[in-house]
Amino acid sequence: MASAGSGDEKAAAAAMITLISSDNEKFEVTEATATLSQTIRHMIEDGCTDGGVPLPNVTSKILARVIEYCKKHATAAAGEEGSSSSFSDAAFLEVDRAFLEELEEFDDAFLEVDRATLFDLILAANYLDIKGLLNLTCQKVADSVKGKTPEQIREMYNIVNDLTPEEEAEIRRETQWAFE
Amino acid sequence: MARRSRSRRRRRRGGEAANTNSRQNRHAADHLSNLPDDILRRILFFAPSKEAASTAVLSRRWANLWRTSGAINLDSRSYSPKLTNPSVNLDSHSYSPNPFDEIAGGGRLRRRFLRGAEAALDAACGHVTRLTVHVEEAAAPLLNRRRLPAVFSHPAARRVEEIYATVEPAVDVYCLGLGTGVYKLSFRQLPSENLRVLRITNFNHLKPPESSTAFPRLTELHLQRCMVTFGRLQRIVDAAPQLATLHLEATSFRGVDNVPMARWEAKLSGGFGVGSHSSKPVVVEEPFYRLICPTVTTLIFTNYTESKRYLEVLRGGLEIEAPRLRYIRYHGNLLIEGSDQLLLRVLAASDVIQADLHVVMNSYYQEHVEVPFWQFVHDFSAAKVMRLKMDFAIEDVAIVKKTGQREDLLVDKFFHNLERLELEGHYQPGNTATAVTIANFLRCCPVVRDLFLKLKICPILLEMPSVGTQALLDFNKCIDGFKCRRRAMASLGGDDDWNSHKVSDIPGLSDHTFDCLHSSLRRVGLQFWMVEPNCFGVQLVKFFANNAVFLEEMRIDDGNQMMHEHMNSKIRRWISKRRNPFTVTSFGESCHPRKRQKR
Repeated sequence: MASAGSGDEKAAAAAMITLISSDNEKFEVTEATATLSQTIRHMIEDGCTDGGVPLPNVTSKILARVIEYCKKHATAAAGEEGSSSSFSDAAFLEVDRAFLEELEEFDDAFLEVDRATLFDLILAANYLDIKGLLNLTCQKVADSVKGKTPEQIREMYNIVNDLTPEEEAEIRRETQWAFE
Repeated sequence: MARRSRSRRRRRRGGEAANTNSRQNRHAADHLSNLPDDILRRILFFAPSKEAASTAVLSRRWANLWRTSGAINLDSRSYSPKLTNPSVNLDSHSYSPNPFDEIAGGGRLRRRFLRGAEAALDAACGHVTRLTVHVEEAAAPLLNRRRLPAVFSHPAARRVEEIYATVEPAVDVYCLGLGTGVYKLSFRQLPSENLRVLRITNFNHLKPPESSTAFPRLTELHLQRCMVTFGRLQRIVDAAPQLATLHLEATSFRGVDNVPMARWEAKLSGGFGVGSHSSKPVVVEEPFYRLICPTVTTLIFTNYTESKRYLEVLRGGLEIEAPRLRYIRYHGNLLIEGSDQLLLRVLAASDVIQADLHVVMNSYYQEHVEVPFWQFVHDFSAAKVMRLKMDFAIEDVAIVKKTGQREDLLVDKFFHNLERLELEGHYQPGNTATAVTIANFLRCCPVVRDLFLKLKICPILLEMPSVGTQALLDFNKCIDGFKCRRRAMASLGGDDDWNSHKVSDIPGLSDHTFDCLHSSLRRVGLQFWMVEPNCFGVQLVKFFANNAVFLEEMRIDDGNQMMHEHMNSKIRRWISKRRNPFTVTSFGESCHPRKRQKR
């Protein structure tokens, strides 16, 4: 693939950022991938990414997944091959259905994780300010409560009910329509 | 949080309790309650309002979160009795095949849905930015006129930025030939001040807003399987001075409202004259329509339909005037039915960057399509990227010099900005005009860097035995012979047979020179189905290997025939004759015609 890139693209590809996870593992990513995170984008703009970006809230396991997501979405935004396009208005490619379908498939597969990982991904997406990933993961949790009763939701997510029976009855009376 | 750190400390202490601790640990990590309030609100933002409201009783912390999620998502499926039964599959296929069953029990469902909608709207606190309404058709009939507008005009929805309104058909309306939804919607009732995104699916009789500045912030308008007249659509577009994305999908334009405008337009511009240059002019007396979208930069117009019902009103053609257009996707007919005139013209599209065009022919036997075809693609001559998918034979649009066809259509270097061209269409093995079309394009694209050609065997040879029996037989024989050869080769373990085949030059292509081959072309992708070692696809491989001076990469998909396994030495020989070598890779996707048929 590298053979296809022009000089400019090679220069852009060479702009690498090092991300350091909480357990001190280092990840080299392109700037295009890293800047899907608004948090990192601001750091780059402020010029404080030399020597790597420490991310004390994100483990290497989660960071690897987050990078996988960012790579895919950054590639999709930049054109089919990543390096193929000398086409500057790459954002327009995102409108393309084939890409969207491929991305959707990727996203679906990406979300096939256990609950603990999903929550860690949500926290990482929130901390790194990656809007697409945050929405994707939150939507996944929201979908899981569809058609579920509060009891089922409590059980599913280990939520401890600290309301007194009277309080709970009061809430149920107030929002009766939600419990029919 | 405290619990999690405690268990971590415990884990550090020692090995013997590691198992139980890790289980506890996982348990702790499973807690939704570990997420901060903002994230829980974000989750509730995506949940249907009924389920969101029911989280109020989960625990003390959850009691009021749902009211401040910032979204109201009204979903009739929350009230559907099926939903309480977890064993029922929730996808659309599980709906009752008989809509009347649904309607019989629908009255109660509707009442509950409307009560819930009102309560959810009443309870919302803070700035609500998103309103979604998803109604199953069975619950729909009573929601029209007064009830649904009440949802949109509720004070809580006044400042919404995004509205997604969908009616989900209880039965496949397309099967019944109804075409579009049965639901009415007036733009007058929509909260309009802050609205940025509006997506409406399966509504008809869209009534435009009264004020011409009703949607000052609207940037995206999506109409899917809706029905709206051009007159009304124009008024909606006019009322949105910042509209950047216009998406019309399977939308029907029938209605009396079309007539006055069309007559007026037709009188002013003297008719739709595209076909006047055609070799066989057909005068279309039908009026045409014009849609003026002064601010639209992205236009998605996918109106192709097998039933052609949507296109009735487009008998005179459609002009879209979009001077700021940057991206267009079109999927639809090239020509007006029964004529040789263009169905769609896009005017003043000099800023277009990318055009994705999937053009369909009304009839496979349509003749003289080359003139309108080139006129159509000329509307996007400024594009940098063009993906052109033709549901017909590539040869049909060939402009042959000798026969005195409209050569002026092929102005040299017409696509003077085009850097990436993807061309997909059918071809018949043995037909030379396919090469002529490819030559036409190479001539028009002086700076193309990336060229992808996807050649599919004409499905007509495979699908219509009455026409193509002999061709199909030949084709199958060819394939069988080919497979035998492959087996024989495998058993002999040699590639010599392949390399002993001479690969021909391509008349109409090999005997011409093209600017792009000597300057810009870097990457070539070829997708074809290899029926024999000297088939057109292989000839193209040779052509580009011999003629594209600065080629850096060639991607080949020969329909899983593993050409470059067998032909590597041949390709290597071609490469060895070049000053600049290139790499050869293969695609994942196969172009096998039978596989394609299934899609």
